[in-house]
Amino acid sequence: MKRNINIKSSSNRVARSLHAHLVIALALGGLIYILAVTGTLSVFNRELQRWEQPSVSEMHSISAVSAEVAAKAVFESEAVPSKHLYINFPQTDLPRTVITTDTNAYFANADGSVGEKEHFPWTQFLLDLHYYLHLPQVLGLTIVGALGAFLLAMSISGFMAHPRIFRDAFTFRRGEGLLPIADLHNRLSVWTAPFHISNALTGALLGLATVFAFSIATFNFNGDFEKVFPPVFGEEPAELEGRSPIAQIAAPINYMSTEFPSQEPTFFILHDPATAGQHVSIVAKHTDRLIFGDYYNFNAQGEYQGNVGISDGTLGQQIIGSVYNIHFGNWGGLPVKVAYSIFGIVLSIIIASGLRIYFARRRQKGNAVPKLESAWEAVVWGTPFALSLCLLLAVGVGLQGLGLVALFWLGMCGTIILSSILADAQKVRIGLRSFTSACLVLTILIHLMSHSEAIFTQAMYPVSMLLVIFSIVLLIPVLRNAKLSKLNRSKPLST
Amino acid sequence: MTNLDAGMQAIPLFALIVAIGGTHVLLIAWRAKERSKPLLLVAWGLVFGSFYLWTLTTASDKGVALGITAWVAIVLIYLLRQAFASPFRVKPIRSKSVTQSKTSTSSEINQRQIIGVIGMVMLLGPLAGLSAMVLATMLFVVASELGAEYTANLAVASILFPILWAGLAVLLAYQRRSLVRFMTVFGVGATSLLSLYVIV
Repeated sequence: MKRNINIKSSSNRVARSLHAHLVIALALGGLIYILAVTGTLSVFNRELQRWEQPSVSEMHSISAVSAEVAAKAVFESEAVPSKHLYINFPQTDLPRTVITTDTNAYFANADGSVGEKEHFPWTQFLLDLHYYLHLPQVLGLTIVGALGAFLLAMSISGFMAHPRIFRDAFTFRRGEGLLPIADLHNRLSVWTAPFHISNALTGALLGLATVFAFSIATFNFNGDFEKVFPPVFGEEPAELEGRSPIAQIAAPINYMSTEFPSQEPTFFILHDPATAGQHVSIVAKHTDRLIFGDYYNFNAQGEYQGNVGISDGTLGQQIIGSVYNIHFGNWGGLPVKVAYSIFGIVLSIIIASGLRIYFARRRQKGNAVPKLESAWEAVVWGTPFALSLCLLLAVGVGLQGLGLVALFWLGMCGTIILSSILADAQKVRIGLRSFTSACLVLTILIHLMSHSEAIFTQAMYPVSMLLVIFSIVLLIPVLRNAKLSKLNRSKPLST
Repeated sequence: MTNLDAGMQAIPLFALIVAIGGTHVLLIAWRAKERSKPLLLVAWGLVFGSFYLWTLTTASDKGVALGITAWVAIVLIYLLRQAFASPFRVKPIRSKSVTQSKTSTSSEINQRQIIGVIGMVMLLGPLAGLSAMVLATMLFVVASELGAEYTANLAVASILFPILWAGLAVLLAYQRRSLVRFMTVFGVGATSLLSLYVIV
């Protein structure tokens, strides 16, 4: 009797957990899927930046003097003085020096001369989509953060809905029908949980940090938002009126290389340049840690003032300093990036397959929703299609900024509407895969023709090769399907 | 190269072998008809042991992260092997009339269901989010009052906020009755807000 009650309550719990899982997936699965796909691509955002401008001069390091000459030249070239002057030092995955002000960014050559303007419209569009869904910054960040919380909710409800989680841990059946899709969804969800839970959590934390800081400030600092983060990231010195010659740039860089040789400077930041209150921060990476780096502060004369403490300060500083890298996977070189991209693809498959299971179950119960099913396929395959169409037009005709944003979202809406009118998920899938593949092939051809001088550079061929491979992989099921339908047509009809 | 250097360079390889061993023992333990606690302990011991080995190659935070990443990658390879080892199931072909009869009864999402989804988004989104934020802030303020170190408190509260939101969203979606859902979300939010005003 007791056993019967247990079984009943257990099946009730599973059914209700599944219901919760489904409710969240149906309500927000599409947006979470777009974030998963763009997040996967964003792992390689530096490689994509290089690919968009493959002819820029690359270097493993730049001398402090050259960096100073280039930075000063860019700063002085601006009519309205910038409030910040940044130097992005060359790194393994982005071996370029970039001088950035509040409004412009230029590459610097190894001899200190200023090169061409930084311009990677598609990668920027991709990052903006992943960070903000192209919405105004705080609103976009908050919505993206909320979607991270919902991904976490889906993981929790998914685990609750899985009574044989350990027994089935290695069961993976191949083939057609519902069972293999369910196996794919469940096994991948369980085993990549460390990745998608940590990524959902860190993504949510990053996205919700601003609104949460407002809440903390309201009850802890009488509404003064500016007081929330300085104990973690350091105080900003007060602005001082009056002009002054621009601060030392080479001296702090040289200080870092002599006093902290094991640290890898990634950014140089000059706050309020050429004012009486100007001061310098150098962000240096600690290669043996998960933290993004630590801030090493200098005054205008280039004298060292101490570090903020993200590497050796309080536990809270070290935890918060690790969030960004854990989310974006840029803490362990190429192997970790490759692993993150695979886990990202797996997460996209998990989300896509989840709703496919729902539609297949409805079909089995005689309650099919072909329009909605096609619309879901349009989200799944329309996302890479819209992204590749944007890439084609960015590379081909120089489309950028709002043009790319409009093309993506209108493209997605159009694809979803047309697919639901077509009401044939299989046709939608095949069609969108073919279009994506065609867009990628065209993009590669145009890119090759416009950057023929850089074909065999590290900046160009790895990404081009990957795009070729991806466009072929997309076509495999399309070709298999065409072959099958040809076979079916040639077979005589059996009675 | 000294013996110590060679030993340090061999650690990642050793850690990978230990993780593969742990995964294999897990596979055996979960496939066995009788549940074997010692076998499971050995399996998890090997997996966690591999994480420890990674920490010997670098700082402990990065070491554990490397260990987890490597282990998940190993398990994915195992799953791929399992998938290819299993026979390919061909879906039984049903007669056209059966398939048609099943799809022809379909009714697409109606207006009521769309309103239901919008209502759910509002409930799980802004309402549950606000309640979770107030609850996380309340916990932050309580910990502050108890003398918790500021940055640690901020880190914990920032991590708790999305977890509470996710937990509340699951709890709300788990409920069948709308009234219970609304009472839960307002209950959590109102109680936390009231506590905050009492404390501050």
